[in-house]
Amino acid sequence: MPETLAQLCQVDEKTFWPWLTWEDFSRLKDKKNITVVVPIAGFADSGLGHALDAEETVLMRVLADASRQSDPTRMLVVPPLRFVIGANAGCAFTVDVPTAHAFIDEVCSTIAAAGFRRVVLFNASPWNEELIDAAARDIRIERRLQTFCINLSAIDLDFHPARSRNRHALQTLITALTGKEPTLVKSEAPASKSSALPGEEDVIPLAEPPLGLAVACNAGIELLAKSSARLAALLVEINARPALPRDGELLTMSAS
Amino acid sequence: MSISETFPTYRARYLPAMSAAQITALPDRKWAPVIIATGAIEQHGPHLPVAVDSLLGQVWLNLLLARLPAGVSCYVAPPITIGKSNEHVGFPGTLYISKTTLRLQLVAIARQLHEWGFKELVVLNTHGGNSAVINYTLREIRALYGPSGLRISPIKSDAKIDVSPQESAYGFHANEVETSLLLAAAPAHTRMKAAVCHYPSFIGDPGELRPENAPATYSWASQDISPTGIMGDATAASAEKGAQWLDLISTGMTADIIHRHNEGRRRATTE
Repeated sequence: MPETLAQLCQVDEKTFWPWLTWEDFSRLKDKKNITVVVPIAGFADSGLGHALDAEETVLMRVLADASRQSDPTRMLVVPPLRFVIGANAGCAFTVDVPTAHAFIDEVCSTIAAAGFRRVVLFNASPWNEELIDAAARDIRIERRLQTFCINLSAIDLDFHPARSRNRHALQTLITALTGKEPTLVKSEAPASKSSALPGEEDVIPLAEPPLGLAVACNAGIELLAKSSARLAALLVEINARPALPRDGELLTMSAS
Repeated sequence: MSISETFPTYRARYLPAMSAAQITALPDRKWAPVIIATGAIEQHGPHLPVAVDSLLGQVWLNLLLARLPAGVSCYVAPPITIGKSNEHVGFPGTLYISKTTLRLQLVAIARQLHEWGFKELVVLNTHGGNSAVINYTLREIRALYGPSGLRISPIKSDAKIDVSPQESAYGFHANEVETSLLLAAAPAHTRMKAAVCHYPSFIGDPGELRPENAPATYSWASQDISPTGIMGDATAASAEKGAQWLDLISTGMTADIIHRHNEGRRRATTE
């Protein structure tokens, strides 16, 4: 059977954690300087007329391309954690906040148990951003891991329906990646109510007409190259950051 | 760039590949079974990648969905890729979640499917360490929504696997079957030179206390019973056996889905 049927996600094969055996992990040298990327993608209608898993499609493709530009000996990527905490009516397969925190913490704990010390939480969902921020701090303190956060929104791929300033470009990229033109559904919420303030956000369909498939594919290649280069540069910066002193142990500070 | 760049290959049946509006407009929600794959990322001996369980879930989905006749409705929910694998603690590369997180993830998926109006959920579990939690959670979900609200149960396949009695009894991890399936489905990710045979117990051993399937069992961590992580005879595996078993088992799963579809359709028309 074709091996393309045996896959867990879109990924750069050279850096994909699940392809290693336990002996490979045991023999890996300098694990403390390998950055483990934990992709996190939600399911949501972002008003772009694309599928619920558009976040994962973009997240994993940008990560795969950035990974191919990076040193494969310094990076591993675990399978995507697929969840969203359901802060918005457009979200699907939502979990509650304690479950989301437990999920991230448990996965990071097992990454630490394998001897790794540097973790990047690479998140696609605008609804998970604050949760990721809080989780990363807890993981730094409680698991002593050197923890970094990158949100897709920070590399110009913001899925937030009210905050994003480049929704049309994002819609174009998804069209290119999926080969499917968007189907926009009229929103019940009035556009005037759209707000980026927490608790006031509505999913308003994009008003600008979507690009056709052929045009979107050409534009998408350019967008993808730009975003993946930006992510690759961020990963280089993360790799260059010195390890935490005392292996992350925190001291009770005393006055001099 | 094209659709082939996206996950999974069966996007026409993968619910997250649709919009919420498309899902709620599906005319067959009342009778279409929805499959939830639950797997694990855990050690599978020195010869197989930690991907095995979750990877096999995707292999089964690809094979059984391709075998479904036109007109048989069936959809797929997002998979649970990282499972409860704490029995493999100490073997690096194993990722795991707690029993509570596994349960709540399954409940969350069931709740969403119920909200969308689906009536039949089928769990395709490929990791034994998940089984106990999944089974009690299935009962919990059934009780929550009632049998007319949501039916949920494990997928069935009546395929008979021809292995030795010893392998059948005590080959239960990274064994002849799993290794053969990987040799057939993902040969580039197998290393048969590292395969060994190691049994944690033998047919004919005195007494009745065993690690699995016995009147009295002991709770084990993998390192208690296998230094390599293999429990079974991985050396007996072959790609030919794997191809045969992939075909047999997925044919059985396909028959189960067709049966559920037909029963669901009958119920929908008589209710």
